[in-house]
Amino acid sequence: MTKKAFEIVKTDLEIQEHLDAHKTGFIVQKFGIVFIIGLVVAAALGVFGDGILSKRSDAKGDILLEYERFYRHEARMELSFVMVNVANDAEISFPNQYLKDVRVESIIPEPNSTRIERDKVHYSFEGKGNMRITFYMVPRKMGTLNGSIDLNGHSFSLSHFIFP
Amino acid sequence: MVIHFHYLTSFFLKNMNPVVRGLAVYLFVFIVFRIMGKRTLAEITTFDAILLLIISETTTDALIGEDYSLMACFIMVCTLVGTDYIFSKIKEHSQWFHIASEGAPLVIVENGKPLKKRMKKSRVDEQDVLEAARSLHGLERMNQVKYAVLERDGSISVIPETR
Repeated sequence: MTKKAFEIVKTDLEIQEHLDAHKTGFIVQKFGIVFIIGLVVAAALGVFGDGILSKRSDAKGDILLEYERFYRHEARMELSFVMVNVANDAEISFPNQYLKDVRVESIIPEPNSTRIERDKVHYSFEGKGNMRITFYMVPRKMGTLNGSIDLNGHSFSLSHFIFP
Repeated sequence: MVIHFHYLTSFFLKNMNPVVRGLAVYLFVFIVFRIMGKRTLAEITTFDAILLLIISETTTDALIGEDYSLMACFIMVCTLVGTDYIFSKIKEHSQWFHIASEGAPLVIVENGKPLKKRMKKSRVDEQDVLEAARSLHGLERMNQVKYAVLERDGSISVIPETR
């Protein structure tokens, strides 16, 4: 924007226009509006969770883990295990350190039993065939959150980034 | 010292202290409304009023989280009012900050002639000026307006042409 963009006015009003401040302000506003639109688009795509950029999945054998790469502090996120043709019961183990930073709100279906052993919390589920187990979790810490979850001998490493 | 700083930042961020929440929301709302320009809330339509209600409801949730205690309410009110007081004090002492935070008045009509570039940048049209001229002074035409000024609060003040 050049100085010619504004009409020069000579008034008898006792007024301090601060034209340079207006010019700077309009430039800042332009960038600000681009930033706001960018933020909305990024959020719609899932940069802050619940979108295509946030969904992650990891498959090992007949097990698929679906989780959120990005999420928000104190908001409820999903972590799902999808299993096909399971012959035995399923056991999912979370490290204590991971559960220190994430609060498990509910589990669907509910586990048959829960036990703590060797710095891990083990959830056991009875069932055979196709299974979907969903953990609803609330991050209690901001920033990077890593964990390694075991399911029937398979180990899944996952990493979240939690926004404020 | 580094350890202490790290401890303090992680403590505040990990627990999302109510003061930090209050400050963050205050600054974010302040910046967003400043970016959107002074005309954003100068004339509130029915839809704008509803939008404001939705914004206030949304910010309330972010402010208090799941802490419904009386103490959290006191802390939040004091944080917001205190921040506003500090801002007003800074404005008193720094003209730069005063202009940056509240803007400055801008002449948009001179001797009945709309200053198009100024109006366009400020997102004000001739109808806005005529509306202000009608409601404030009962003026009928633009050539009856000597000056129109877009004030810092987004309102338009009109000085009629003297006959």
